[in-house]
Amino acid sequence: MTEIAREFPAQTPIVAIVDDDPAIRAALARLTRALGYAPAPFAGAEPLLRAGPFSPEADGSTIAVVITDVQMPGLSGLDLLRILHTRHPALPVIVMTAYPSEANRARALASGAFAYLAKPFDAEQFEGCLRSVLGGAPMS
Amino acid sequence: MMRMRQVFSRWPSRATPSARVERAVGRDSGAQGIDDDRLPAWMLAEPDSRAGAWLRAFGRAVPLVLVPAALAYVAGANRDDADARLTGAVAALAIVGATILAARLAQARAASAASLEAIFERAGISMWREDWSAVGDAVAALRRAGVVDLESHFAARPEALRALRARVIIRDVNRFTVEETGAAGKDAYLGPLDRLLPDTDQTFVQWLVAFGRGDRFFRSEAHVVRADGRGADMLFTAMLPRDRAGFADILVTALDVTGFKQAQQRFAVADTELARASRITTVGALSASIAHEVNSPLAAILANAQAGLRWLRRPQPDLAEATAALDDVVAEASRARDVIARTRSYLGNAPRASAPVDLLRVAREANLLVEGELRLHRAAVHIAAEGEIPSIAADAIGLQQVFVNLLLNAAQAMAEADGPRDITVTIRAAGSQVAVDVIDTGPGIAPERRARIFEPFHSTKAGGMGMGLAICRNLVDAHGGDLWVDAGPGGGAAFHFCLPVAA
Repeated sequence: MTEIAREFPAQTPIVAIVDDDPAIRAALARLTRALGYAPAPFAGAEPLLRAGPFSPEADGSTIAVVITDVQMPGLSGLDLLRILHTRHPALPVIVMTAYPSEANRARALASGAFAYLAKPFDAEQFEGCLRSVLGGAPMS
Repeated sequence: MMRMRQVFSRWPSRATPSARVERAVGRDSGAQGIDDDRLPAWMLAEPDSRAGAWLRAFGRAVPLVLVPAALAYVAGANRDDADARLTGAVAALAIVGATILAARLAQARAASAASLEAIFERAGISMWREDWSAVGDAVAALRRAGVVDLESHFAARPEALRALRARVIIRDVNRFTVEETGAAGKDAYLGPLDRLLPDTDQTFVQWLVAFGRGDRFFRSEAHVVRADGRGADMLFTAMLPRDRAGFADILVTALDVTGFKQAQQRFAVADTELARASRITTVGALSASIAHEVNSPLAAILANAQAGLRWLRRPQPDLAEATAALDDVVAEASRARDVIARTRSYLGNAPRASAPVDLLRVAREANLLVEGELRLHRAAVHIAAEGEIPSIAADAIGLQQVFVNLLLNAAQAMAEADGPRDITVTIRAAGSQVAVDVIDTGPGIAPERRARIFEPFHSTKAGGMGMGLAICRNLVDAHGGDLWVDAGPGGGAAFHFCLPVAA
């Protein structure tokens, strides 16, 4: 993640993208970059939680927002959401899924998700989410 | 090759053609019935009437009287008076003896008739004595005229079949019949058979088939309507007559299997519900999995395409980023295409088990499945095969669905019809295909509507999905066949489909 973040100016908000599907990871990273944010892709919840910003001693403030898939091997997106919500209550988490259901949506929002996106989603939806989380226009 | 024409019986055991029984028991009337073209044994049997039996008995009694009398006469002519008196006395004695013997025989006969009567009345099973003479004559006439396939013959002439049914007379029923059903008396049963057998009955024609083929016994289940209007499912069995005279008095036993049938039906319904529930579960799981498999590449495609657009629309377009995005769009679109292809091949292979199928049997099974509903619509189904039907390579369940839909469709189409409600299903070989006609006596389908009725969600029925005929056409198409509709000879709808014969 650090390599990607380095390409951007220091103040660029970092968007962590957590998905076990490499194609989605790459596509969302590309879209995030096109929107002017710095993507930090992770293949699952565990790699994210092991990463520097989320180590027990760090406060996680270097990451501006986490967008995570729900169905993943190991910890699910909802597990990750609960953990992050406990450790870093201020960190916004966006949940996305290819199995959209009302139950999942309700569970995600009840667990403190900032938004719930059903795959496939529009760039506008994605951008709208990021902007309302991060506020204002990103640097481009 | 399997025999396609078989006795319609919902009971596991079917009537045995006479030939097999004759061979096992003895060869008194020759082997009949194996070859459909030969007349049954009963049509060829010598008349064996009561009068004949009486004449034979008389013939045996005559010498008993005449021989001593003749001896007395001869002796009297040649001997003296004492001898003549003696032989005269012997002759008189013989005559008296013969008379006593005859009286005893008559007494024994009366006693045995009384005991037979007692057995009939006291038996703990329902027994009916029926006069089928008119049917015997009709079957004999048709067979002599060269009609071999009586089922097809009557399938095309439902009115003739009805007329014949009215000519079968119930002469007597035993006491058990009355007691079991709580009828007021025997009168509730006596009279023409069609009072009891509703118009929807399909078993009557099978009696004719059994007679025509020379079966030795008959067994079939029929739904009857009793004098009090209650319906009952009865299992009828009878030994069939061995000569023409026997048709005047056929003894039929009747077993009430209503409770058994209801249990069977409940089981079938539960079974269907279970199958439906598991199908819904499977479809649900499958569609969720397809959604996930397809939504993932779609999400990547959408994100890449929109990222690419943004890179291109910048004041200084970034062609490298845009190209990379488009490369990924192509890769993910192929992935989505593969998912669809995989799903199709899975769905295409799994349920369509193709095996040799006997279409006549499929039609009959479908008919049994919806029997209750057809009865509610007062529709009478006549199913017949013309000649031998080659088996076809098909998915039997799918074709059963086609028959079920066509039968229900026909019954519903006739719901408003006055007069007879007949559905005639005819199956025949036509070159390298098997052709099926399903013809009803309803109002028919106007020519301008005929194409539209096969479209999905086309429905004229309240609460109907309008999917039945669309599903039928898809199923027939999937078997390489064709399904269409035109008008039947009586103005009703005539659905036709043909399927290729197994290679």
